[in-house]
Formats: sequence, C-alpha cells, structure tokens
Amino acid sequence: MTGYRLTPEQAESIRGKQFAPDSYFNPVPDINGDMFIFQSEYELAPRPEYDWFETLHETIFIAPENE
Amino acid sequence: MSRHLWLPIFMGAGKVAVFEPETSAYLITIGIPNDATVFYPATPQEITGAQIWTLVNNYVLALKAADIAGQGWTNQATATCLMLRDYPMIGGTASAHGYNVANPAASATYFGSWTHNELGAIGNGANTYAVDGIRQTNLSDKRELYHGHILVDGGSPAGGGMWVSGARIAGVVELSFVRLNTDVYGCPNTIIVSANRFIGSNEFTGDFSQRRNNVAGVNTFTYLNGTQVNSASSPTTTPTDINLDLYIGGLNQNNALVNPFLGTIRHHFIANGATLAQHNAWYAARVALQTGLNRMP
Repeated sequence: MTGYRLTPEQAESIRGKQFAPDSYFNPVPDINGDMFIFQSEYELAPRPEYDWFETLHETIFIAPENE
Repeated sequence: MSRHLWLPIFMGAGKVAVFEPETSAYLITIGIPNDATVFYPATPQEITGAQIWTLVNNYVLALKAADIAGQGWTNQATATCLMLRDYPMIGGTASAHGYNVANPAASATYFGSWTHNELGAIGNGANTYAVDGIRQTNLSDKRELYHGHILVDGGSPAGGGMWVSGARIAGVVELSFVRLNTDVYGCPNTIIVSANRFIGSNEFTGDFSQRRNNVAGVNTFTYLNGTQVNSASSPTTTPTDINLDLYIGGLNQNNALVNPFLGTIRHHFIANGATLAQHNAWYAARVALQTGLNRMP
C-alpha cells in the first residue's frame, strides 16, 4: 500500500490532532522507521491549515514486522 | 351565483408512530430524518429515512425484549449484564459510526485513515484503531474498554468471564481482542491476545465470542451462533480454520498500535455478562437490523 511520508517532526506535530469530526491523526512508522499517514488523513485534513501536506508525496509503505 | 367550496373531511385520526427514546436520540443525533421521501444514501441500497427509523426502532425493541429484569443495557449503573457497546455503524461518517446506542455518553473516536461510508467503518491495516470513552473503573474488576480491545476480567470461565460478542457480516468484522490487565490479576503483562486475525476476503456469518481464561497464554474462542467452533491456545497460533482469521486494531500496554485493523465493521457490539439466551436474542436483532439495511450477504 501507499502512504504519505513525514519527517519525525511533522509526525509529532500532528499526532493525536483532529483532522475531521471524531477523527484523529495517527502517524505510524514503516519497516524502516519512517513515519507515515494515509489517504483519509491526507484528504480530509483541513486546508489551509494543512496546506503543507501538498509537499508530501505518495510513497510505498511497508509495515513493520508484527509480533 | 352561489359558490360551492369543497372541503376535505378526514374521517378518523391518522396513527402516529411512536419510537423508543433511544431510537430518536440515535437517529436525530446522526442526522437521519424520519422521512419516507428521503432515500438515504448511507446504505448499500438507498432506503428511506423512515425505513431506517423503523428498522432501528425494531432493533431497540428487540434488545429490550431480551433484557432481564435488573440486567441489561437499560440499567447501566447496576446491571450485572451490561450492553456496553453497541455501534450499528449507520450514517457513513466517523461521528455517526461512533454513536453508542447502549450508552450515548460513551462514543467512539477514530484514529488513522478510516474510510467511513454506507458499509460501515473500514480500516486500512496500517494505522487504524478506535477508542471509546468509557473506563470501567467503577466496576470492581476494573475492566477497561476500547473500541477494539478489552481487558480480561480475570474471572473463572464459568463464573462470569467477559463475553465479547460480535457479528461477522459479509466481509465485515466486528469483534475485539483482549489485553491482559496485569496489575489486577497478576498475569504476565502480555501484549495483545488477539482473538483472530482477518486479512482478505474470507467471509462467514455469525456471532462468536471470545472468552479468555485467567491463565497466561490460554484463550478460548468459541462460536455461539456461527458456523465454526474452534479454539486456540495462544495468540500466535494460527487457527486451523481460515474463517476465524479476523482482528481489530488496538493499543498494547505501551500504547503502541498493534494489529491495525483491516476490514469493515458494520456493527460493533460488546456485552458483559450476557446470558446465552440474551446473546442469541441480541444477535438475532443485529442480523435483522443489518438485513433491513441491505448489508447482509
């Protein structure tokens, strides 16, 4: 699957913040430890507050190994 | 020249539908009008708002009919059997899908990139989980409940373990998995004891419950209304029946996301201490509701 990669600082700046009614950002690391958000978070994040999302690129996400 | 004025005369009063207060509270809150001319798009086949009102009201009545005096969801404060979570997932939005019919004060919120539509709440398998607002700290067993996983109560299996019931409807998963509460029951601080794992399009219909014994690493997964009966001895054991693979996302004891949810939830339901008869009756009510919404296979 694909997602939008964030810097660690970007990820922490949005973590737990609301992007839509009853919906909150949840950046997660990929297998390399890079932080990602995904389609709904990207699309529904209000603009212009999250205009900077336009600088993010859709990138392949590989999930970390599960337990 | 006289004028004749025809006046319509109504012979007899029309009947006025009466709805349960839970029905009205739910559907008014999520913005579905009781209108027979409005075909509501938040269902797989559009049905009218009036039809939704009737379906939900029948559902509420069925839940109450299965209640036992002194128990059940109508008496949250003192009930020995509590219907703690009942999210019919109607409405197509996170807010609508977070509405808890059993306890409107405890709604669910969603984290990550869920898709909310007429089918319910759809996870992405990467970062989706959900949380509700209740902490059962007022109960002696200190259950802590999340929309997604609950803590085991530590009771003996026969003496009142927590029943978590769910209905799996056409590619939809509805169930929680269990996390152990270490400080109360002295069990190892085990990370998620997943009920099952679901990936892909395996489907089955039916209700199943997960009950966890107060023994580290021992779990019993039992179908009550479904088509399979199976058990697994550890969370890492792959069930032999592929139809048992389903999971829902939650947090482990370190508040880290584990098993992010992948699948569609169309009805999330948790009841604590339900009798088998209640469980069966509530399951039948959920099936009737989802059938009326055209969301059953």
